[in-house]
Amino acid sequence: MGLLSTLWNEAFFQPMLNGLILLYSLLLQNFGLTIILFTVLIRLVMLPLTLKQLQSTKAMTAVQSKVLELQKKYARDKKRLAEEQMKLYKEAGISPTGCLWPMLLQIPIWIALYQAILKGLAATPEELQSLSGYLYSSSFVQGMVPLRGEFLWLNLAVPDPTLVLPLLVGVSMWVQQKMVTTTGGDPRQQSMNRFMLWMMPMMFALFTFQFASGLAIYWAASNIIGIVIQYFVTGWGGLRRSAIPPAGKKVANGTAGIPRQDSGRSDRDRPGKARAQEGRGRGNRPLKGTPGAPGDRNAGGPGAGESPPRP
Amino acid sequence: MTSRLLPFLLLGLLLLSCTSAPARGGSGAAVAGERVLVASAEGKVFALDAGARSRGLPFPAPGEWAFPENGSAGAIYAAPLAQGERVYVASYQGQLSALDGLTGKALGDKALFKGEAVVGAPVLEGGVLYLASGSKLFALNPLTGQPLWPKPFQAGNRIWGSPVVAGETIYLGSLDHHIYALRTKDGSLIWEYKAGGAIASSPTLGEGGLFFSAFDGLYALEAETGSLRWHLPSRSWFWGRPLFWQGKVFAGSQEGRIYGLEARTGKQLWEPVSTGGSFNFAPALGEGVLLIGSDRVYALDPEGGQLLWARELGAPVAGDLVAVEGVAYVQAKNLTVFALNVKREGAEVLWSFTLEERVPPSGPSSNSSNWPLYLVLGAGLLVVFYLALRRGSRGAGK
Repeated sequence: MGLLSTLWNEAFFQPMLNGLILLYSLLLQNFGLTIILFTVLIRLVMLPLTLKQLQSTKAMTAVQSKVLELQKKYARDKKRLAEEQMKLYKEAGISPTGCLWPMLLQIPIWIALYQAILKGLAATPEELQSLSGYLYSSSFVQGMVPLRGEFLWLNLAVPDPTLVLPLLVGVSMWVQQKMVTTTGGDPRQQSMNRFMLWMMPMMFALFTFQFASGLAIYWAASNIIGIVIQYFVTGWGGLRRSAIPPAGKKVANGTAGIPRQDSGRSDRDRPGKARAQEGRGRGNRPLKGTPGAPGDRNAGGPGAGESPPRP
Repeated sequence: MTSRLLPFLLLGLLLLSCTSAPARGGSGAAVAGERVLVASAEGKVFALDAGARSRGLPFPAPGEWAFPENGSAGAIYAAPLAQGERVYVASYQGQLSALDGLTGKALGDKALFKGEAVVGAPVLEGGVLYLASGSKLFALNPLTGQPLWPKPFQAGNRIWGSPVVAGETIYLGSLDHHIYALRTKDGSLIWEYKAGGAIASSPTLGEGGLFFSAFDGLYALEAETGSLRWHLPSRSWFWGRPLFWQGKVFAGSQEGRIYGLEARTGKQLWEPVSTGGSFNFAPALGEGVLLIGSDRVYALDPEGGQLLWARELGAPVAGDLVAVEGVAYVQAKNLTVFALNVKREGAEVLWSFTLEERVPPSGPSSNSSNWPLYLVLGAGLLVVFYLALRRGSRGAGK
């Protein structure tokens, strides 16, 4: 445990914390701006991973209805089901764990960033005393401590006394969740999606009332950056007012639960990158005999399998 | 779906596991005659009678008390201040209370003062009570708590040390890296000096010098003018107040080294003594022995710097050491106050007293007064989550 803890500190936490302090010194010792810029930088560094994850997720959702069909078809033959599923994934050019690895790789970085912000704010004497053990011996870094916690109307070491940050965190998280919410397919999954859409923003808004506002700034910044990235990869996704048939109902293309890409919005409305990616990326590769066939505008593209439930 | 839930589950776990440490408090002891006053890390102030404790009488013996009797006054870092019949208690929640020194009952219905977090002990000098609260220094009427200056002195960051009053000048350090000299009459600035690191404790006066610990080393200034006398640079933080004794200055660093220097020149008297602990509290001198606490209490010969002995207390030291007539009083982090009979050969425990049974810190953060509400809300969300899953399962079954 001691070795793991040392490894963690040396490899992730300390570089993150000291980097944060270095940036703080360059940004006129404004910790609020430092948190925002550091979040932007970290997200930029991890952009390739994020994009890979988003594209893999999108590709997975695009074939979801097909998987459901297979599950129904081979409900009593698990072996055959597995074979067919693998065949389907192979045909679509996706790896079942493709969206998991980029996400898993990002997790330690987020945890380290989270810890660095929390530790850097060091409000109590105990926290400040323990901080010294994690700082590099450079007088440049040492001379910056303690970090000043004032930002706009906030003291970053304590919760926001107003409703502004809780609302910002809640709303931005809802928007981000809504953009990726899928509606087609398994009713259990739909129910889960609806639940997640509201639970997570509410939960984080409540956390914002309780935790240091520096963390809330990080959550809000991270959400907003996430929305921007999401927009350029998948467009507005679930936020669009598109007409989606309820699960189990046949649509023109013949498959239940597959969201329509063209409804409620013209192709010109969607971001250029998203348009360009349509039918080009691995996750967007059209499937034979599925709504993703050439000429079928329902396939791939922004919000495939992620459209809102509103008719 | 699993892949989407996973980050949230991990984040939830993270939020539970990586929250900031709550402010615990715990102070050094204050000695007034036979009485030892100390604030525990559970938000209680205790008045202990040395005679009763050495006889092992049940608490409270006559003259002993705990404030508040039930519950907690919040985290208290500042050592209580005993003055005549009164005892002043300042909490990290920013509340200053005046207690009856005999009974421990609060004097008056309301707190004497309410402000931002207090870490340094209040000081009573010339009939004025000086209190550092947040980043401000207040001069208060000790009876009414009314501010005596037109406006408090404002530092650039928090003030965690007590002010030191000498004649008509107040000296105090701040986490904003500055040491300030102020006029007692109105709190106006006489001079200020910017150090290379934050200052988290009180300065010490001696023979015209002002000595203080900073995060980039030890400093000595001319008290009159604020000009630099010497600076001992260090890559390790100095936190606790230095000790001045017979033209010498002593202090311990966070890397566990004890230093002895000439007050006039800053010349090191002996090679720094390395120990296993990390020094965050002020040293004391008892029976010609230099005492300093970290993971244990260390005793050194102040002249030659030889380590005489080290005494385990069962837990690290939790506050400044105080030595009176050869007896050192210290609180350890196991919530036990020790009275040590100090000699060059070793220290004998005269008595020890456990303030309370240790209770683990509660709450998700230092600002967690209403954490039970969030616990209930969290449980509610889990129930909703479960119901949504059940509904989904039924939907899938149809």
